[in-house]
Amino acid sequence: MKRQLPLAVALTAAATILFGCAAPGSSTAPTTAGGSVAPTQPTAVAGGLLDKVLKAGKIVVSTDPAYPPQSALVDGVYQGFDIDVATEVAKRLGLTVEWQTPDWAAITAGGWGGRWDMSVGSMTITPDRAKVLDFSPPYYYTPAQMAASTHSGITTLEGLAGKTVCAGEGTTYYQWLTGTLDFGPGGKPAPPPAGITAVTLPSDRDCAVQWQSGRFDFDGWLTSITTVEGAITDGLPLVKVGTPVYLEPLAIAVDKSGPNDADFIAWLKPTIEAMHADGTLKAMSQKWFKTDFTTSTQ
Amino acid sequence: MTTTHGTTDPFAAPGALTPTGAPPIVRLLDIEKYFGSHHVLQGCTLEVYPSETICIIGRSGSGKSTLLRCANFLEEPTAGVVEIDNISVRADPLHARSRQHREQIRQLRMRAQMVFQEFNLFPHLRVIDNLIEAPVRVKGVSRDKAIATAERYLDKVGLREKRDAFPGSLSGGQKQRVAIARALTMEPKVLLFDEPTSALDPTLVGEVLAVMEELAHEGATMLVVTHEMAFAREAADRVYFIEEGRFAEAGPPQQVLDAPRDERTRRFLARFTGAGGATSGA
Amino acid sequence: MTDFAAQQPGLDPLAMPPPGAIVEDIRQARRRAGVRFALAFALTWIVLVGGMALAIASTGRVHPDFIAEHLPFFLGGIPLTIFVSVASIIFATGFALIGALGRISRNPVIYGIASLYVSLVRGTPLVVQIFFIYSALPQFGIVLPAIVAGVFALSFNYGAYMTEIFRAGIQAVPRGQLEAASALGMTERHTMRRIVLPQAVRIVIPAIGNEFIAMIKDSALVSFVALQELFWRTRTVGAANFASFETLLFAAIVYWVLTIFFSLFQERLEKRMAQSDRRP
Repeated sequence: MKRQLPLAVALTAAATILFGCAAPGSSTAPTTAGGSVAPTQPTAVAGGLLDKVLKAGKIVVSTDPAYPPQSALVDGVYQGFDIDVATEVAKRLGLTVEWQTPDWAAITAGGWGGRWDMSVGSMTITPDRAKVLDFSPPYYYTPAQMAASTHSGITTLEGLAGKTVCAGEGTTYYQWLTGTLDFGPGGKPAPPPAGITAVTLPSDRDCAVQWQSGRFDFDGWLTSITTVEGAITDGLPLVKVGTPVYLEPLAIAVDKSGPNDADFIAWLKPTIEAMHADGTLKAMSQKWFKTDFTTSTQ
Repeated sequence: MTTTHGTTDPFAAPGALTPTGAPPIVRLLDIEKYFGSHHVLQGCTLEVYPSETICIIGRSGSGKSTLLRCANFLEEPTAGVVEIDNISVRADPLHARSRQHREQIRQLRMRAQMVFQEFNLFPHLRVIDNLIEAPVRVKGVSRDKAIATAERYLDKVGLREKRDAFPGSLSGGQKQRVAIARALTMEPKVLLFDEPTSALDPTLVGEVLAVMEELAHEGATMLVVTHEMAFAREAADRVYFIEEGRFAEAGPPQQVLDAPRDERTRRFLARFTGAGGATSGA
Repeated sequence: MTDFAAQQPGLDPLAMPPPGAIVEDIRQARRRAGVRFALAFALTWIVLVGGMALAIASTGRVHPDFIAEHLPFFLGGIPLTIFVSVASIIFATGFALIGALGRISRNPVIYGIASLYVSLVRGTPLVVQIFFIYSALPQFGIVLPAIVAGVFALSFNYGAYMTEIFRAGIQAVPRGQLEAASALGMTERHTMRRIVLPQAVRIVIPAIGNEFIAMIKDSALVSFVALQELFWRTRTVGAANFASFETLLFAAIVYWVLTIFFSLFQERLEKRMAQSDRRP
């Protein structure tokens, strides 16, 4: 879910070199009065992103339905926490949602070409991504949870020191394991246990599947707590190890190189704050995660 | 008679069927050809009068096929001039691909149709389409007229019933007869034959030679590179013996084939007399 | 035969079966051998495939119910897989034709463009090309719909490989054909269009068939650009349910069946074309 493929980074860099530094839509989100609970009236600017979606009567949202409970495709219907958040955001603009399912790398690389208008994909805010994408305030915070195979017998975080730990390719989990994770203005999380070797597989969930298959090349697995709990529920041979190692701020993203997004961000920022304040997000979190992930202090 | 270089072919004389007073219709003047540094043709001059049949004989590698291929510029001569029916093209190997030169050559080729040793029929086209492709698309003859002409020549080579066959279903002799009909359908001024029977099974040679003899007797102008001495004796007005890129001897077949004056001609012909008088040299 | 037999003491021509009967015996023996071969071949496959199936089943990781539950969703991706493959092979043929003409051109600029195309496309991974066409072209203001981007990337890539196939096909047309055409006074363009290309196409059709079968498998890469074809569907369901093993296995089987189906189709096409070359 929080992957950022090296390929995407490389292509972004290549695109930056090739196409000049400043993307046409790049802008800083305007400051708004914080803490406003009242519904925010959208103020569209001609040619802006908000203008575009309001005129279209719909908003195109990217999602990856391989990640329940955030996003799944069940009998042809998209459902999950991210799906509900996106639908609610659209509703507050009086719009319908159309889904697109591009590869995660295509989303984090920016340069969407207008194929979709926003990403509601539990994306971690990082400085690298902020170069090509503009972010809303976090709409929830998933705890990053370490797990270990039952085969290894490890039960504590310290027990993983000097061991090999698996994470999804290009995820923020992999960054944390290698000590390079940085939330920018959100600060740096605590360092990983000493002497950890990080390995990656194409998807977070592939790590747990290896244990199920009888491969024990690594003893630990770092992913979101929801994924770990899902794996345990599905009977995979692993246990939670310790308390969450850090909280990830997860946000809605829009493309800097698309239509000017200042009007959209100006509306989105107070809207997310309002969804926090009026309990909408909390209710959704309870519905999908059976717990409240919407506060930064859990 | 004026010629480009003041060159003339000393052996040329109007043939038995040549209309009185007609000038030569084909002139190969001082043709030189190098392949790399190999001097294949060393100044060949040959004139053909209308309705003549000329045979060129010689060992393999003597340059006889190259000379014929120079006549329609399938090989660009290194130097020399080819004149056919008042179209005169001077060899220009340095500008062989210039638009103007290529157009001149195309005009020349329409007047001098070649029959190949390997037939070279178009395998993806039916016989009739092999015949009319060039008349319709190169000469601009109407399709109906081209078909009528093509059918007439298919009759002449005795293959009318193969009109809609594909070349792959024909015997070698039939293929070569179709190839002759294809050349005739272009209604050229001269037919060039490049060893037309050398690739054939011996039992199929006769049917092709019969067609060629008939054409010769009807007054077609033909320039034939061949090993078929019997055909040369029967059909040729003149025979040219070529050796190392030069004409060593030329004259009426009775002279060149039966009483050669040049030692090299005698030695060459000795190969055939052993086999009871010239049939196939292959 | 009779003469020979008569000269051999102990070989009585009258005791030998008549020649017609021998011919019939030979024919039957051949047929029996053919049937034996086919049976042994089928048995080999049954044993090997059955063995593999048992080995996989013994892992306890195959849940038929799970696959059955998602079967309509998986199989619903096949039409898109086939559409993408067919469309891509058609456009690839076009690219290859143009590329091949460029590669045999005497014009250095045209030859240079064609050579760069082949070199660049063959020298970079297909997945990068797909990503580039999908995500980088919009930087130039060129936004291709996902399906167009996917088909374009596949056909552009395959076109480069097929350029060399087409070039070889064009050069495999015998030289005599070119000489005959130019001796008839045809221009080079006319010769290429009416004489060389029709023969070259016949030469390369089996190779195009092979490329198409490879294309079916490579079409899985367009899952990258939000096309919900067979591979995307199996991968997504597999990842969501910790069942990548089952779904990827299932995808492999479906791709295998598809390629077997199209291979048979291709064999028949080749046979028919071989026959048409011999038609009277």
